[in-house]
Amino acid sequence: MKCSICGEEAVVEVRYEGKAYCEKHFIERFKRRVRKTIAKTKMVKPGETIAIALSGGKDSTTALYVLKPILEKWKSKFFAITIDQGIHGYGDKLIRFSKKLTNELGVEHHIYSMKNEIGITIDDVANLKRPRAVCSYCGAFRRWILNKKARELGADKIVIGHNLDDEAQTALMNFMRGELSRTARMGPEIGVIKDDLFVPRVKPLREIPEREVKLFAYLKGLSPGDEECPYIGEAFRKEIRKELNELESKFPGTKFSIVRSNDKLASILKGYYKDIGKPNRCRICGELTAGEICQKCKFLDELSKLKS
Amino acid sequence: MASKLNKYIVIRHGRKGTKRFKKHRLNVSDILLAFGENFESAIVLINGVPATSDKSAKPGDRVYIMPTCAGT
Repeated sequence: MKCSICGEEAVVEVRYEGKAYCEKHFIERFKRRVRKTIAKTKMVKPGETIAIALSGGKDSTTALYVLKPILEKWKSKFFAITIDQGIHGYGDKLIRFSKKLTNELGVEHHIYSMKNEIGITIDDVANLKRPRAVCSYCGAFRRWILNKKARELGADKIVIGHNLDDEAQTALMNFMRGELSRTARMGPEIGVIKDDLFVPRVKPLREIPEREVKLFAYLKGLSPGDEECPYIGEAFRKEIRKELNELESKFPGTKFSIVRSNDKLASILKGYYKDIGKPNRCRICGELTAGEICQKCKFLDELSKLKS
Repeated sequence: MASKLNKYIVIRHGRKGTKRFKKHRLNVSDILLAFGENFESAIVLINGVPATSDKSAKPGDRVYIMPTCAGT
């Protein structure tokens, strides 16, 4: 197969476009598409201070790599934040990779350990007999630390590496679980309500399919490997991912259609949930919450009861 | 040893192990199918180069299947 632009040997075929690209044109196209997403949604603007959530996986490393020249051109202040979840082996490898990458790129890097910030590691959580998947606790704890630290460091936005597949999967999961309040929070910028305690999270890779992010990361040496988190276990997401990939193989463009439909729905729902979802301060930690106690404090309480 | 290896197409998957096939050629969709993958869920590398669907592997080629989904 030949590149649709230059006729050189192609490394990727983009079925939803009916085109193929060589390495050089694939990389150019990838960067252009991220710039276009940013320009279209104005998710990041010159003058803003940006925190880049860097787990060390292919999505966050790619987001950092692609955004760096844009933010430098704008003379914006930016830095990377990594949360050490305390996953022995797998987590250590990702943190080493994050450190190496930020060193090579010359990017300011802050690493916070879950153990120090909230007193527990994900390995500790996994060792308990708990009522929900490890990912539920991990997600809530990471979001809490990320938001707090980004705010303390003066960030206006947090960049996260969610790609098109993540967005399409989450859209379908919310719909199938009947959680439309979560749908309302989706879109290029996460959140319904503006609040001083909340640092909005933005997703510049949300219009790039996962396989293209993976390929870009491979070609640029940004992929730490193909290891899987030892606690991966969200059966529902796995099933949705599998079905979506099969649908996309048969009907190219399906993932884009789902995300676009979801964005339209989210923009309508944002108006609806603006009035009923007033945020509170968590009674325990003082951070933002929809109820009285935030998810992180609820989960910590649940785990401490399990320990005792 | 080298001559024995050259009789097979050896496919290594990033997470699911290795399989050997005694065939003259194996196209990309058959390579993916051998590990229950499709064009969306994994990328095939033949001798380190990402392969499009019209490519095929021959005995002696190093074939690697790189799963696309996130680790976490």
